[in-house]
Amino acid sequence: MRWLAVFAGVLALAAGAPLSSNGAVWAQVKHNCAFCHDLHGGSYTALRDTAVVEDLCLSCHGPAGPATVNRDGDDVPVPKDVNIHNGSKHSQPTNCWDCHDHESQAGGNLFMIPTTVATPNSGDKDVIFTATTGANSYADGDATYDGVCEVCHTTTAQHRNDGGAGQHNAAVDCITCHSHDSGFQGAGSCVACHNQAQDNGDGIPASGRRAMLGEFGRTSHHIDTGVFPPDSIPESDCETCHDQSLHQAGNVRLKDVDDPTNPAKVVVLTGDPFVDQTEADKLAPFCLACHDADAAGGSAPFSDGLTPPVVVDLATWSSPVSHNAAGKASCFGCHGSGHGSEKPKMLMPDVGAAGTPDSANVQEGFCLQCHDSDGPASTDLATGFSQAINWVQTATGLNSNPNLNDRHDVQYSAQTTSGAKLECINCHNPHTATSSLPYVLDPDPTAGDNHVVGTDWYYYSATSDTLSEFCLDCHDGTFPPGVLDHTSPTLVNIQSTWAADAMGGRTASATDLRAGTGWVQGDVIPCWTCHTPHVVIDKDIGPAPGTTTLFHLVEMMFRKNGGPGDSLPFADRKGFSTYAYGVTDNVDKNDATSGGYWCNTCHERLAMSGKVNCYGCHRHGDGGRF
Amino acid sequence: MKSHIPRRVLVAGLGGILVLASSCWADRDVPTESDPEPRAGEPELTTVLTESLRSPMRLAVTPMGRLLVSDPGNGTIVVVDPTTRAPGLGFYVRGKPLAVGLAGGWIFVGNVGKRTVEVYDATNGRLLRSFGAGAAEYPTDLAIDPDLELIFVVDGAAREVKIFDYQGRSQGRISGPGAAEDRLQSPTGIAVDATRREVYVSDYGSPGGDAAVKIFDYDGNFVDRISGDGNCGASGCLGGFSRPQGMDVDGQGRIYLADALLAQVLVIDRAAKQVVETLGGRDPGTAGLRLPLDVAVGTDGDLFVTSNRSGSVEVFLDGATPR
Repeated sequence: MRWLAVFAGVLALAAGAPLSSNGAVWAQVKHNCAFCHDLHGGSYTALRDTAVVEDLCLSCHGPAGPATVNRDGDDVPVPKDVNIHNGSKHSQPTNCWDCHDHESQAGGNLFMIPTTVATPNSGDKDVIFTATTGANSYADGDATYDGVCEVCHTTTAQHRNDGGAGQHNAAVDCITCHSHDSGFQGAGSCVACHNQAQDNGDGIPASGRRAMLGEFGRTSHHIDTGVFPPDSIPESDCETCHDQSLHQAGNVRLKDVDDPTNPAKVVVLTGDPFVDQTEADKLAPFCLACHDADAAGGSAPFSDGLTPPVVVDLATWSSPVSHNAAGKASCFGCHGSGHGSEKPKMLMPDVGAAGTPDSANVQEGFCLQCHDSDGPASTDLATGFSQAINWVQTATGLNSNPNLNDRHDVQYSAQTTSGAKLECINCHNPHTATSSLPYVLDPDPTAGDNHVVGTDWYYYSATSDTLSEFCLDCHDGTFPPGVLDHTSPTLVNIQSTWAADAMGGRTASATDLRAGTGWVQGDVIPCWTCHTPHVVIDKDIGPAPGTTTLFHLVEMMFRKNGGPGDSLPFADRKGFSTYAYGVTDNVDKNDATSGGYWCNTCHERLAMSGKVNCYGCHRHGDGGRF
Repeated sequence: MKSHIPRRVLVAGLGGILVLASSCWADRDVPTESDPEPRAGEPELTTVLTESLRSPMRLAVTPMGRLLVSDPGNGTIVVVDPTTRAPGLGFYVRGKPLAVGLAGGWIFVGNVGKRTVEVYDATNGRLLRSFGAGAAEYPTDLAIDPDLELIFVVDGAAREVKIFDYQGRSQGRISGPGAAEDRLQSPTGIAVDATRREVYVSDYGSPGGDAAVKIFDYDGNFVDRISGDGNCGASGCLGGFSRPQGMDVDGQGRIYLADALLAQVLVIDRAAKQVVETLGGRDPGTAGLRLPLDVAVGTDGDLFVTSNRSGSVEVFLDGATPR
C-alpha cells in the first residue's frame, strides 16, 4: 500500500516530546492517511468509535507503540506515552478525537486541533490554536477564551472559559507542566512547576501547595546551589528524596535513600508536619537514612557530589535514653523544610531575613521550647534563662569584669553586651545526647586541643568527675570554632591555674573545714560542686531581678564524689535555707551577697561580716589561694 | 479459521488487591494450594505494592505459573498470582519499565527511561546490575532462551533485536535484510521458540501497510514472515492484523499474538502461517480487551493477556483451542 500524504495537521500526543522547544517541529509532522485508515478489517466509520479511536491512537502513541515509523521513506520518532485527558473533575471521559480531529482542523490550528470543540458544559466553542506560546496559544490570557485549554474548563482553578478563577502562566506553553503523559494533570519538570505556589482547588493541601524552588536559595539548603542553581536542580536530585510513583495523588511521599525502590520504606505524609506532630514524627527515618553513620551508603545522594554529614543513627535516635525519648522530639520541628532555611542547618523557623538576629528562635530557642516549665522535657531551663541577666557590678581582681554574668552567653542579649558567644550545641549534641551523657565529649575539637573527656586530663582525679574536664576544655584560654571569648576583659584561663588555685583545698588549710563534707586537704574540687552550667534562681527571693547565679544553691553544694541528691546538709544559713551566691557585688561586706555564706557552707569561718569578702583573697586565676 | 471465545476472568489491580472479578473462576478446577516447594527461579518478592495496575504492558510466566507484569504507568514490576488472588507483590523500577523476563533467579527489565536492560534479584526486587546506558535505546520487549542463557531485546529505536547473555555482553543482533519488506521497520514484540531456535518479531511495518511477524534464526538470518494482510477479498480482509504486539509460543506450533487495534489475541499456525483462531475483541458479547499489548501461555495452558486501557490482565481459560 502506498502512502497517501494528506493533511498537514499533527498529532502532538507528545509526552516527553520537546513540544515547548520544538513544538513547531511536531506541528509540521504529518500523519499519512494510511496510518489510521483502511486498516485490515477496520472501516472508516469504526475509527470514530470512542474505544477504537483510543486504541488506534494509543497503538502507536502508547508505551508499546513503535519508537519510530517510516513515513514516506523517512523514519520519524513517534511521540509516546500519552494519557487521555480525564482529570479528577471530569464527569465524563474524553477521548483523543474530542481534541484532535483533522476533519475540523482549519485556520492554522496546530496538532489537529479542530476549530470548534463540543464542550461538556458550554456548548460548541471556537478554538484558535496557532501557537504554543504567546497569542493564540493554549491559554493566552486575553479576554477571548478560545484557547484549547480554556474552552472546556468551567470548574478549574485556572483559565476557565468565562475568565473566572486564576490566569496563571498565561501565554506560556501549558504542556511544559501539563503534559500529555500525565493526562494534563500537571507534570513536567519539578523545577518548572514547583517554582510557584498553585492551588488547583482540591484542598490538598489546604490553600494549595507552596512554591518550593526558592527555598533552595536560602542560607542553608540541600543541594549545592553553587553547582546547581535552584532553577537547574536535576530531576534526579528531586527524586532522590521524593517518590513520584503517586505524584499528584495528594500526599508527599519520601524515599528511603538506602532502599529507594522499596515501597515499604516510603514515608507518606498525610498531613502537614508543620502543624501535626504525628506527621513530623514520620520524618526521622527518612532524614536519618542519609544522615546516619553510613551517610547514604557513603555515596553522594545528589548530583553535587557532596556526602551528607553524619548526624545520628536511627537506632540511637530511637533509643529510650536518647534525646528523642518517648518520641518527644522529631527532626522536623527543629529542622524545617528539607529544601532550605534562612537559619543555619535548615533550622526552624525557616523564614525571615538572612542574618537577622533572632536569638529567641536560633538554637537555644529550640531547646527552651521543650525545656521549659510545661515540658515535654523534664528539665526546666527556660525559666532561668528568661530572667534578666545578672551582670557583675562591682568585684575584685579578675572577677571585676563587667562581662561576667550569671550564665553562659547563649542568648543574643548577653552576647551583644559581653562579646562572648556560644550556643547550646557547643556543649550538647541534640542528636547524640543521652540521659546518661547529655554533653559532648570533646567540646573543643580544635587541633592541638582535642582532649576527649574521660582521658584523665587536667588533674582529673575523681572517677565521676567528667564535667571538670568538659568545662576546662573550653576554659583553657582557647575556644572551639564558633565560640567567642569576652571582648575585654577576657575570661580567665582556669585550666592553667586550677591546680595552683587549689580549688578549695589542694594546698589550703583544712582546719576549718566542716565535718561531713568529705573533702580533705589536697583534694581538687570538681567544677560542678560549686557551679551549675545553667541559670539558677534563688528560691528564697526569686525569681526576681538579681536573683540568678551561676552557682549552685546552697543545698546543692555536693559532698565529695557526690552529686544531686547528696548535697551538704548544713542548716545554719544565717536565716536562709536556700541561698545562692551572686557574683554581682563581691566587694560588699554583706556576706549574704559577697559569698561569705556560700563559702561557709563548707568552712567554719563565720566572721565574714568582718572581712571584705571571701573573694577578696580567694579566687580563680590571679594568684589568690583558693 | 474460527472465532472462539472461551470463558474468561478478569485480573485487575484494585486498591492493591488483585481481584478476580468474574464468577467464572469458581467454575474452573484450579489448584487451591500453592506448590509448597519453590521452584528454581521463582520470584520470592515480599513487598506489597499499593498501586492498582495502571498501564500493564508486558508479561512473563514464572515457573509456578504466576505472572510478572510490567507497568510503565506506575513504574513497577508486579507479580500476579491468579490462583490465590494474593496482593500485588512486586518492586519499583527507576525509569520506565517496558519489557520484562525471568530466568535464573533474575528478573530482566527493559527500562526505556534508562535506555538499557536492568537485572533485578528475583528474591527481593533489588537492582543488581545494568547492561549499561544505551545498551537498548527503546527496549520495548524481550524474550529469553534459558537453555542458551540468551536474552533477545527489541530495540524499537534501533529497529533491531539485540542479543545479550545474562551478563549483558552482546551476542549479536537481528535487523533483517538491508532492504525489502523483511527488514525490521517498527518492531514491537518478541518471542522465541527455543526448540526451533527461532525468533519471532512483531513489526508494525510501515503503519497501515505491511504489518507482519518476522521470523529469524538465532544467527539473525531471515527465515520467514507471517503477513498481517490476511485473506483479502471484496468485503475486506480476514485473519489479518495491523498492530501486532507481544507474542508467545506454546511449543506445539502455535503463535499467540496480541493485536492492539483489533483488541484480539490471534492464534497463528506457524506452519500454515495463518490465523486459525481469535480471542477477545471489541464486539458486544466478547471478552473485552482494550489495547492488548502482550500474551503469555501459562504453565497449565491458560492464556494471559495484558489489557492496557482497562488496566487489567485477562485470562483465557484452557488456552485458545479446545483440548
